[in-house]
Amino acid sequence: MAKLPPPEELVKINYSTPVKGWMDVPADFRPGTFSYPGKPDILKYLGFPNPREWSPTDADWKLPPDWREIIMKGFRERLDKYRSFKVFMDICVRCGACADKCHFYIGSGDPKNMPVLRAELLRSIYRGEFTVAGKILSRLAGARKLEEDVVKEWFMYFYQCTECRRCSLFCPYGIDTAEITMMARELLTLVGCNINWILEPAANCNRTGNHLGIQPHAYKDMMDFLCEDIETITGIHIEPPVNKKGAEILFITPSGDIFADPGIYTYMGYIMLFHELGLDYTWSTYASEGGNFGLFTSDTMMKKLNGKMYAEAKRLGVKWILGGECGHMWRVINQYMDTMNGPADFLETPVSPITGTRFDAAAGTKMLHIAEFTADLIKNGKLKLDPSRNANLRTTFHDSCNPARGMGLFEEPRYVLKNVCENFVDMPEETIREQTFCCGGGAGLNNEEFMEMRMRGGLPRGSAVKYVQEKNQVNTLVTICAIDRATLPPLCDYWAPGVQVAGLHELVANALVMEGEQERTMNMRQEPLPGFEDAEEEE
Amino acid sequence: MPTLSDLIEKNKEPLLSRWLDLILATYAKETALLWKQQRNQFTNPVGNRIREGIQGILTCLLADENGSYQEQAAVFLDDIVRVRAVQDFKPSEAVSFIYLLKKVLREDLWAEIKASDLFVELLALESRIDSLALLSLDIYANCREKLYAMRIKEVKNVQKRLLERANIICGYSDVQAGGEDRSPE
Repeated sequence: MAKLPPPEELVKINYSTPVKGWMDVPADFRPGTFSYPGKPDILKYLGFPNPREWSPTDADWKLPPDWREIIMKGFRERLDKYRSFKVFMDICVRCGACADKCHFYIGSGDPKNMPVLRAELLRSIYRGEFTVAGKILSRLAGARKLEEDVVKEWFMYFYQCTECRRCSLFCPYGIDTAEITMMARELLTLVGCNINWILEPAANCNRTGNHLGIQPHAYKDMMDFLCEDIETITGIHIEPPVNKKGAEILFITPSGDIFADPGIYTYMGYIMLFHELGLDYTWSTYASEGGNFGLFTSDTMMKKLNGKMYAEAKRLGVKWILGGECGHMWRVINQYMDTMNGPADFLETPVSPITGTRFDAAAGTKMLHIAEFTADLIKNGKLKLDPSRNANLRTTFHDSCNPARGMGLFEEPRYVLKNVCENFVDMPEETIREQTFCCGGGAGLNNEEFMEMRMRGGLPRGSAVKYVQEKNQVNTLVTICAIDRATLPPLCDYWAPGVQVAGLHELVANALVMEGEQERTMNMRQEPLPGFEDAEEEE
Repeated sequence: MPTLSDLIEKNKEPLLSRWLDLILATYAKETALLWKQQRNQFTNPVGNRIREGIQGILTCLLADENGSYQEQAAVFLDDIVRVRAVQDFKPSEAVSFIYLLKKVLREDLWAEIKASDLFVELLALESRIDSLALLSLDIYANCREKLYAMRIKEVKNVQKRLLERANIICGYSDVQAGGEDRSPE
């Protein structure tokens, strides 16, 4: 019999992975796996180094001539400045506990997405350039020299980390990979390698107060627009207070929710809730952004952008600050704001004017999370709620990385959710609360050009959603983060089609029975409420 | 005289295990090891989708009595292809896993196929495997189209709302049929 060609000859593929050490595998940039670089105009505006046109797919990245010295100097400065960074560089014993915990690794299988190896990209340079053993033993000690390929590799993998900190949860030493990524991104910024999706919002925020560069009058226009929708739904005309001096509370939330589906429904929910309570509060067109893309750029940028929260609270003379549903905004507030821009001793520890509850956990920052505020209202019976208006929704809750792992906010949003919607089921425990899986688009990676990578990173979350969709007929994924509200719809569309995404206060607004409201026949999305489906058809 | 189906049924476990190994070998060595060991479907979705997917595919191929194996196998193919469509693979590499079954069958069962002269059945089965490869290509293309559609939708969602709400462009949600505008302006 003639020799039979093997079946794999049809596709001529070598199935085995090349047996090369990771140091010898250069980063391969393919569209879909990287975010577009920062635009020169934006870099110039921010005063960031090396503004230029370039692309990661170019062979020449047009680094400054002395790029090596710049990075080494920056590295040394950060090792001296942050004791934690030095410890994280020295202490890892490569036990592998973190290896399979990263959503990007779980989805891609790329070993450089293992948190231990991601950090090793930086550690190898630390050893090779800063330790005696590394200088002498070189590769034997896991050390290497800083070459241009290393910079490219850093750019690829430190912009494939969403700083979600799931890996840190499993590290016996508590090494915070998010902070390692932050250091690496700072070093990259020193030689002009950063991404536009982070820098442009940071620049906008610096200029107009919010990520989109919305100017005060336009921000107010947009609010009016949403109030018209509220009037259509409830029959109640609301004029929310803006920049009101002497109000008791300043409310700050991400600007992402004022213009994009489905965030606007949550935004409208806040307006309705505060109106119903008769709260003495104000919005601000200056502190019109809760998010802080400085966190993904550098500590100085983060501090500067965060500064407006206290500055505006002081200018308006409020007693305390209430914060909306957002993810990384709460990491900045909970972990850095007090030491960065505090102490805010001109403010008071938040006390709910409705229930009298004093929120001592927020005594440091003087800023309270809306989920805690609303949970307290419900607990004290201050809200009239009709959960039957959400009866068509079968919900589950996505713990956003930062409120979950950054501040331990697990119960309050679930408590609120269960009170406004009778159908609630949690996803499997290894995918929620402190073990929650990222949406794949945090830390400034929620851009459209990164969609393929976002879907890879979104697989673990998507699998858990699909599971409850099939097992419990879940059709709505509720979340308390504006970035999640933008990133989870496509994630569900790809991994669990048929599941929609909603904010917590959108569902609160659906259920909220308001004084003087007309008969409610539609939800916040102006879709018929359960029981009113026929009415719409008759029209 | 055993049929090819009997032969495969009898050796199902080792055949599936080898097929799984070959598919996992398209990933990095340490990854293949981890994904083979870790059985939790939530913390190891890729390994589990492949493990359960190939089992389903093989069952569909063998149980083909009324010719509906393609329809039944599509669900399992989707579980695997949907993942490989967003991983670092060329299109041919993404769907190649199906051909690895042919490799496994030929290499592991060759002696018995030869002894029992089951080549006609083998050819028929291989043709069915080939048709699943084409089906995988359809699924792959759907997944990639979906990715691009999601990108477009994301851009549109941001731009359109902004322009509308900033009153730069007009919306038509308030306009009734016949051109009468319900809003006072």
